[in-house]
Amino acid sequence: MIIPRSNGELLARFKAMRIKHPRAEYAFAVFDDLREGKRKCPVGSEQVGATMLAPSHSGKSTTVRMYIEKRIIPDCIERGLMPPDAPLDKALALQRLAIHVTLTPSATVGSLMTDLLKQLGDPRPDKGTVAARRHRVYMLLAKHATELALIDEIQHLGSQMQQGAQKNRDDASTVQNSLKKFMLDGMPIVFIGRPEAKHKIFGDEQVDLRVEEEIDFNPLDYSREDHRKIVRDFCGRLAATMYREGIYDHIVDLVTGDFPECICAAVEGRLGLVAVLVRWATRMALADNAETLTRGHLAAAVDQYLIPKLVTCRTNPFLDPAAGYPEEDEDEELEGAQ
Amino acid sequence: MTYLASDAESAPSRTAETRLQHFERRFEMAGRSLSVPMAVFPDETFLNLVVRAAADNGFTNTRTVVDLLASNSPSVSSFRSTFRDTWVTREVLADTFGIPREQTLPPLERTARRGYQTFFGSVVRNKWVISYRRFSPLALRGALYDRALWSLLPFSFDPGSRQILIDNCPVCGNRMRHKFTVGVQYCDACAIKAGPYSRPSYDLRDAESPFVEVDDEAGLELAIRLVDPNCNTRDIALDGLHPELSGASRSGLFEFLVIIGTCLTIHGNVAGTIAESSMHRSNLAPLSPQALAEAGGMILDWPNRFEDFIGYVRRRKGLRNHPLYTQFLTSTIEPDLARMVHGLIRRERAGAITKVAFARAVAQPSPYEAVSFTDAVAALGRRGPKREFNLLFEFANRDDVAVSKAQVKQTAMSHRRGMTPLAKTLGVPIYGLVDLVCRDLLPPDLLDIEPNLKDVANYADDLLADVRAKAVPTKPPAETFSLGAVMNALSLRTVPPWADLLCAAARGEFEFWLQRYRSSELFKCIRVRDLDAVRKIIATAAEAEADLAQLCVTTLDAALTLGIAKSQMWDYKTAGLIKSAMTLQDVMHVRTEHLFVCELVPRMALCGVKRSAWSIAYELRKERILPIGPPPLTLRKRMAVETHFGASLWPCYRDPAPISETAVSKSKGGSR
Repeated sequence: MIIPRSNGELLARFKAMRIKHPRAEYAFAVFDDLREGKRKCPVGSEQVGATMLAPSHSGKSTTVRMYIEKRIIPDCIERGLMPPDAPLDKALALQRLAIHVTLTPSATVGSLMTDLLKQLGDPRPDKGTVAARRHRVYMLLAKHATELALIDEIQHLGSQMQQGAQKNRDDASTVQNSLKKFMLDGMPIVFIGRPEAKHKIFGDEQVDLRVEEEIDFNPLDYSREDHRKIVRDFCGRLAATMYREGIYDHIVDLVTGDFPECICAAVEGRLGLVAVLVRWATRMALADNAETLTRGHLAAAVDQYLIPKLVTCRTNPFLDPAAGYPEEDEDEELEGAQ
Repeated sequence: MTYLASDAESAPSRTAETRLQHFERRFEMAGRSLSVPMAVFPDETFLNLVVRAAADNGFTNTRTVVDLLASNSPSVSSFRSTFRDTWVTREVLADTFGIPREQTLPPLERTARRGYQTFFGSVVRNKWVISYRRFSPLALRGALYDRALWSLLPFSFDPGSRQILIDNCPVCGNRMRHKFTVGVQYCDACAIKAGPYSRPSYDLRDAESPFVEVDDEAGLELAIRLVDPNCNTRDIALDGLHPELSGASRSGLFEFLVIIGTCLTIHGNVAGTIAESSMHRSNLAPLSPQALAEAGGMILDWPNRFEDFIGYVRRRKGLRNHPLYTQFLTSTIEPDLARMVHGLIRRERAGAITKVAFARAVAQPSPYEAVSFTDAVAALGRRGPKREFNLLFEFANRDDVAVSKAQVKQTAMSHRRGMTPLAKTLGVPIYGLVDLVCRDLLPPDLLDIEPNLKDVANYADDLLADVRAKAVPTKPPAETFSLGAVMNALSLRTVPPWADLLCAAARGEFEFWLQRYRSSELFKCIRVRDLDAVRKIIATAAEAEADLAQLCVTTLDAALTLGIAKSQMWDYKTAGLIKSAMTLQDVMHVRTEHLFVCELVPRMALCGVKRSAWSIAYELRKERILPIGPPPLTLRKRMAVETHFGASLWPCYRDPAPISETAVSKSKGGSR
């Protein structure tokens, strides 16, 4: 039986779910290494960075949130920075060990500094000149002993640098320079965004050479054995988590038969979309007052949610078993579209 | 609850909130509180906390922190001194700074009264709380915050490390302020010069400064304890002080100490650069640690060392007015303390006068040899508290004019405590008491003049007892006369024969009664009937030993000499008939030229004529022999009166020798 009785509650429970998978664990390890390097290097030493570039809904931001919840918060409690019984949402708002900043589409150095100050808890993030804000950012990063900066939506800088007014291109260039300077001044940075940012932003040798780790969150290929395992494990864990989070009163079947393959095909290998697909399917089941999630619900979710939204998803794998992955010659079309 | 400053300890105790509560409150204040929560030091002012908070949070302008409180103050300095934003409660301050609510916040200064403000539970002058920064490099190395006592001007050193405070930046030489900051360890002017977001190359902690060395460490400790921000230390500051000082408040005592220190710097032998004129302004310069220590030592050893200091200043300055008297008079210390100091100064001056006078008097080989007037003036001051000195200096202000030893001695005696009451009790002027001592009627140590001796007002107890024992124990009959009136009527000596008469009364050589009057003067109380016996005593009385003609007399002494009340004496002075600063010669001149009607009654009685004073006055009025002035003046010209009555009057005895019986009988037929 589906326990939540409304779509809003369903959404809240799905959003609260955190499902481990090897890629996330690898990302955690990279983040931990960067932080340890920051801690153990002399103050002000140059640091290195990492990238996490993948298409949208690959699970990048969720991985970051999961990292902060599972690693950063316990670390803060262990260091005595917050009480052990602090509510999670408040702890997330007040922790400063790792700051997660999302760039705006028209990011400038000033807006970057403002965003950083907001994350650092500055009461006047937009006060002062750019230099004043940069000074405060450095001051607060040092005072809070911040060990990692995660800059999300980094592709926004790429689009600015390629098109638009000269001023915008100059702004983007200075933002890039500022981020580079952060690394030079001793702050490890993880660049998170879409793949198109790679060549456009990291063409600078100085930046590129300092970005030592590339965390792979690219779409999974079901034909590969390791990816297949990831998908199957993820589906299994998703089902278990849905039961644990009180969405279903039983563990739904997402791993038998061709379910994993169809799910992977439908979401084009993006793990983030798996949960979205299942959530939509659950909505269908809820609407039908169904006792459990069925193949039909999944197929309906693909038809109603994924096919209209994903340009590349033309067929419903739950209805046409033969329609698995897009063919090779369609990859170039995908790149062109992006 | 509105945040009322002055003393953080006076705030009601609060239950400590849990860590979780504090954490949740931090979450609620996100965006409105400082990102870096502050730790509060107990001896840190609010202004310093604001500066440190701004620096730690990357705000170079300290006003930004004040703006977080939604204050209307234009600057952080005006915020701390004119705090009117009543919505800024203790809770708001704690939340903004990220401090647990139960933790003690530095108190905001408040206006205690005009010219004064609160300072960690004490009250200090506004001018003492400076608006610029001073620092001790060693203290900053220990903990990076400005101590509260560094902002108090009287302290020129750090109480903790005893290092001299540095007022200006060692690099640029400017005074360091609170408006701009990049860190407590940097000069704001150097930081601006280096660039608003760059750190200056010079760290104030690297500066060098000497350390304080004082002789009186306990005195210095007292000065610090009186205004220590730590309330536990403050509370014990008054323990063990002299009872005269225990009634003063800590703040009053601290101000008192500072003023003493300033006086020490100006007048004493303590190094310092305070101009004397600074005492007359509300501005006070920083005191040297030595001055503070000595001032504290004076308070601990009250009043001995302070009295020594008073004497030291007097010997150095030798001015008309004691400098300390003026300075403590114009200061704003508590009235009780000021009164106590003035009393000490007056007493010291009196003691110095008598000491010097007596030393000079004793030092002379001959009793009539004079001291140099210049020496007397230099030692005693040009104007003492007694008017006789005024006259003494008025008529003789040249080096070659001598002042007799007896004059100095007599004048010095009058400063002794209890002399005036003793004179009033006996009805004998002070200058006449010497003769009483010579006749063993008063204890001889009355003439051992030293400062601060016991009160001598009761020295006449034995004499009074002897006289009372010889008096007729009944009420005096109607036909008796006052002994004093009889003496004044019959004697025109410069020094009337008080001693002879009292001696005779004590031996019972004549019959007398004691009249109870509102006034207790013995000479007025003794009533005699046998005028002949008194006349003989007066006639055979020995002359005075010293020439006291130029002796300055007080109003009381003049009144006793003339045999009138002090208030009547004032009437004559007011009328201009007698100089305000008079000598004994002036008084005797009045007596020689004038007489009172009441003097005529005993003189007529001796000639066998019984008349009342009223009838005598009526007759004189009829003869147009009127008083020399309008009422209440009753003196009449002696020549005119004696000419009118002629043989009806018994003659008066004048100096130097008494008139013989033959001369008296010859003069009965005419006036003198």
